Amino acid sequence: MKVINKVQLIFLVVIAVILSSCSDDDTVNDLGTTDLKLHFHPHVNGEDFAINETYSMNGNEVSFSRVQFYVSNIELTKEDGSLVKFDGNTSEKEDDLFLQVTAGNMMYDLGEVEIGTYKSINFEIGVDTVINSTIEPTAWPTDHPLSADNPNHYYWSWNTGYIFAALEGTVNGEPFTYHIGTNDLITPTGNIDLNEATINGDNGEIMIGYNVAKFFNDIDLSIEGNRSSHTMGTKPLALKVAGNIKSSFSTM
Amino acid sequence: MKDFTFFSLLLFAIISFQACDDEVSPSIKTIVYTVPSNLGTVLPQNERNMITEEGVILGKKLFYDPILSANGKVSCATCHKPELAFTDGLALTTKGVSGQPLKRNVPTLTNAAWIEGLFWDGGANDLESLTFGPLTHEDEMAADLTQVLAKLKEDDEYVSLFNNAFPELGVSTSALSRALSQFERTLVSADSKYDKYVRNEGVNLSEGELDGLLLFKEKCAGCHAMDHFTDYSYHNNGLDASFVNEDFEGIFQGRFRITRDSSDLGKYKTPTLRNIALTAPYMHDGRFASLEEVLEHYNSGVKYSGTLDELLQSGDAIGIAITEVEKKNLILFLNTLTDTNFITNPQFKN
Repeated sequence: MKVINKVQLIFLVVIAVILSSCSDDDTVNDLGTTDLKLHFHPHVNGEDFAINETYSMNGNEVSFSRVQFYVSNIELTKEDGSLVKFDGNTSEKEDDLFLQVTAGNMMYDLGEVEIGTYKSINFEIGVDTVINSTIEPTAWPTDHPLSADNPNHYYWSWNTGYIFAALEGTVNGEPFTYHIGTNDLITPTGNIDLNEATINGDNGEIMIGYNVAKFFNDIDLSIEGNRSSHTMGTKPLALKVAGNIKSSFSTM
Repeated sequence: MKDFTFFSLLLFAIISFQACDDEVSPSIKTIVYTVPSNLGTVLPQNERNMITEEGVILGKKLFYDPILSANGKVSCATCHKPELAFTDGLALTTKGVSGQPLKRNVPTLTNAAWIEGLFWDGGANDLESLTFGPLTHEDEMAADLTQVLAKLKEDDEYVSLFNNAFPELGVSTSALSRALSQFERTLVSADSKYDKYVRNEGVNLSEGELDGLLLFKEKCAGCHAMDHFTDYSYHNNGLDASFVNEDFEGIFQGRFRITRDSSDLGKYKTPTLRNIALTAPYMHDGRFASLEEVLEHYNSGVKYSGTLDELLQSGDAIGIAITEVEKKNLILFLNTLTDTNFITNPQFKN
């Protein structure tokens, strides 16, 4: 039996290599990659925060039973200005990374990034508007952050869409509920400065604090109408709370 | 022989490539549903939740099972009864867990697959999203989904039905909603006397019914577009003169509740008129007990407001003039839209 000739062999090897490479061939710098975690740290003016604890905020006694928000379209900016996205290397929005951040869970896996220095991070508070309008929560695998089976799944079935951010609790003993959602209220954080964070094998974590005490800035909680918003019908209040959540973020 | 070796290696390389694509091959087959020509032949489906035999079997069992409600007494079928074309005959039902009246009339599930905006104001985009409304509303089934899943997981039959229909999801909230949605999409009604007449299947309409059909085309089909007998859109049909009551997140303000666009004040979804003789009382709040009352509303009861539908206005006149004889013939025609096979179909029943 005659073996295949050299030209054919080279051709085969090339074809095999091209066809069998499963992952996208990202160009990786010399330093390699490392797993990155995003640490969302709730606090009250720098003090530790806990669900159902009572805190003094602007002269009010405030306790939270629920603090949660969805996160979409995360981007890191590297030292050289290049952007790192978490889009699964596809153009399909549904392959993007989504997070559901709750006060009770601080660590979130972003996957592998290149070792190096990172300048800033930005993301949207809420569920990407295309996904929010087009993909129902029963369409995801059960362990996906957007799945109806997520234990903290928060969604309006009577006006289809995710509750982007939810704050619930009591203020001076009176209940409050803020449910922020609808595509109009997706809130980009803008760039949050990371103080030239070095991400490597020893440090694979970016820590973002959010100051719960800022959530009610410029809102008079003694007025009953200011203690509840389901976005629809009370959009100005919802916008204000969304803006306050946005401005509560900082690097820690 | 040389070529054989070459090509088998090439083939191997290609197969290795394809093995990388981690799409899971579906272990269960979707069903191709065809529907009669006057409904457009193709059953609309959610491409992410295509109908399967296993999904429909599970969905039907869940639909009729009060295990889904907080007190174990209310199922979907408590208010969506097949014999009433999946309505319950009440203006504002009190059959939910709390016994409190709902704010809106139970809508028919007739041809639910075609409806793009569900609920009377179109707030839900798809059946999969909608299901969580009635399941969890305190005045409907008041379900704690975690507890419901725990109960379902204790039931061997359900565990196997879930695993058969949704091997990747198993007993889960997502699979529960998907199964119910699949079953509801199969509720196709296209076998009424009118359907058989219009498809030339050897059925004739009486003189009165034919008169009613002509009147219907002239006076009603503008919104109740044939042959679905709805345009699947939203209109203000003059039930009220103002929409200032903002209570319950705007539930009395029609589609405005969803869009917050003032041009949608007082607009509600056009319901299909298929099986309309079975689905009294009428309107989003069940205010009219009979078809006679509905027709009299269009004849003399239409109230003006800024969003009143243009088809209900001509010059200074509002409403649709209908004589007593015309009313009688219109109702004769509307009765030809009753689909007995639909309400007795064993495939739709427990």
